[in-house]
Amino acid sequence: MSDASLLQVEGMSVAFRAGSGDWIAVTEDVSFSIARGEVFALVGESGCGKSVTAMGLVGLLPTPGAQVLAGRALLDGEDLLTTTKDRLCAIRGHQVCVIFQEPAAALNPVRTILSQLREVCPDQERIESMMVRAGFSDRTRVLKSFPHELSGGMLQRVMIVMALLPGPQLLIADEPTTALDVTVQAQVMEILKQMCKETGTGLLLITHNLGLVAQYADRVAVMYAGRMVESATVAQLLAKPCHPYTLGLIRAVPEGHDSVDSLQPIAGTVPRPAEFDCGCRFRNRCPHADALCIAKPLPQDVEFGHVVSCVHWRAIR
Amino acid sequence: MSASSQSPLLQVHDLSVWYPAGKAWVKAVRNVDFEIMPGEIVAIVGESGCGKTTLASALVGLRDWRSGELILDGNALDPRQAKTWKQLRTQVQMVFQDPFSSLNPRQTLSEILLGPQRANGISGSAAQIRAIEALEQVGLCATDLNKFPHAFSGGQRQRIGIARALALKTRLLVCDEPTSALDVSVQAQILLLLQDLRKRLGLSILLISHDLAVVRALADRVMVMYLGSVVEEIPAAQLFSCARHPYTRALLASVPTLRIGSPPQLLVGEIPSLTQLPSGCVFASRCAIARPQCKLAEPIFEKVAPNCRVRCPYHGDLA
Repeated sequence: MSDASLLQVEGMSVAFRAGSGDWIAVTEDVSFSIARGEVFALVGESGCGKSVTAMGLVGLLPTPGAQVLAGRALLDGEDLLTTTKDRLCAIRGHQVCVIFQEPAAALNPVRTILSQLREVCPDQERIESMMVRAGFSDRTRVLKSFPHELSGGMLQRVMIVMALLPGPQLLIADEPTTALDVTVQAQVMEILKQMCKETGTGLLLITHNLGLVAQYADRVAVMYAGRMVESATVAQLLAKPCHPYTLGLIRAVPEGHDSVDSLQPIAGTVPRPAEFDCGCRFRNRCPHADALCIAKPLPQDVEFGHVVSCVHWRAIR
Repeated sequence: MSASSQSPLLQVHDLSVWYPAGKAWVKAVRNVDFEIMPGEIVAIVGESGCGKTTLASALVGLRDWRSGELILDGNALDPRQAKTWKQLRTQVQMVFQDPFSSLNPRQTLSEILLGPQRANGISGSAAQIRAIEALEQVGLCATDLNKFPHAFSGGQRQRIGIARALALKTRLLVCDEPTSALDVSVQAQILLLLQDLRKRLGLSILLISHDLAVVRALADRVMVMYLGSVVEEIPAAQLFSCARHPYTRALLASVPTLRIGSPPQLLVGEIPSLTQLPSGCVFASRCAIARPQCKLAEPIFEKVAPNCRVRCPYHGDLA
């Protein structure tokens, strides 16, 4: 896995400035790697730090309110976190591209699709062939259209084309289908995965939807309150979730439940960043928590490729 | 589950809601029949633009009815008169999708819960007591009354939205995507709360959702909408096993599941425009089993089994 590694993130932490002027770490020690052509999913609930991590990689955190405190992120050997602003600017839109949640907000409303795609790649033939691969049967009409004339699913497919036109090595998709209907979601994800496999582009998929992870990702990391709590291949994670939070997340999904009575919500609430301490951050909601959980949970190997940060993982389930 | 001997709480016949769009009309809801029993949970599912939210808003009087009859407890009411809706306000209440924009950030919980009561002629200590009761019913407490919405998480805010409806002693709760703005672990809490309220208070719930697994787990009966009309009605317990309409099947097949190796099936084609609806079956352009005659006449909504109706004469072609 690591021999063909495209992106290697090690010990990355991001901090936000609080109203008091203090810097508060919102993510801590995040490490993962993505291989060429691999779909790597970062899952977790709102505020767990998955988007902050992704945006931190490409220097899109709001400044001066946020900064990367520590860590390395090697893209083909080049550290994205310490490189200059100009260099990062050159990397974005070429080696690394981003697809955002809301396609309508990401496109310029007063310019045609073609003129916006041309800005990325002047080669008309390449644009047309990518449009065909993205499933546009009437590409001539779509290229002449303005964003408001297209549906959300079509706009998101345009965004995929736009992001893949420069031939990036890494594509970051931040909740790419959250704004779309499930019927359209299936189509968009299929195209996204297919095109990444064909071009060997690594895909960092940020999502809260475990169903999407199960169907489209190769490997996955679960984040909770700013830390990675478990990472594994998708098959490993679904077959044997080892962190109590991962298990709770899977059990809270209504899929396959005949009645809500059998659903098991996770009690309690996520601690706020100001309340973060060094111990396990899930311990106030965890049925297995005891005195051992006050110490920082260290990553432990469950099996090859499956790492969990919980001292009690053997007792889970 | 409601006993069949009971009479419906609310019945609607032939409801249509049209929006003006220049010279044309957007026929958002077309000739929908709907009824709900006391203590029953009915779900409406479908894609964006299918008319499910318009239907919900029409049921609480937030949209003008183009046509339709409204019957509450067996008494016909005139949906075109403002006083009808005034009367219905204490019987039917809505819970909105976004718990952040549906609560006034400058009002305390006390004001949020007392305002609707005052508008319906309940004030003083009676209103105070109802407000506290409602808060306790959703798992919050009286000490929260002086707090502002920003002090609460998304899931708690959605509870406040439900309490606001309960304070009026409402009998039908219309929930428009009550959990789609929430995280999955919190979503389960709200679903359990709704289930609990139905059991304890005998509340009827109309659940608008696009999440079929949520619908399956919470509802008794499901209505599937496509382009403004209901294409299938089926008991929720049979949704995943016995759905008959090709659109319902396609919807079910496009959900990504946690089972590896059963990828979603794609539904091809674009949705027709609501201002220029095709003739005949409106789903024909995307349907896997469409025949030439499907485009001739709109299929009737036919009863095919107890509590099952489907708007497709050829549904038998699907295995």
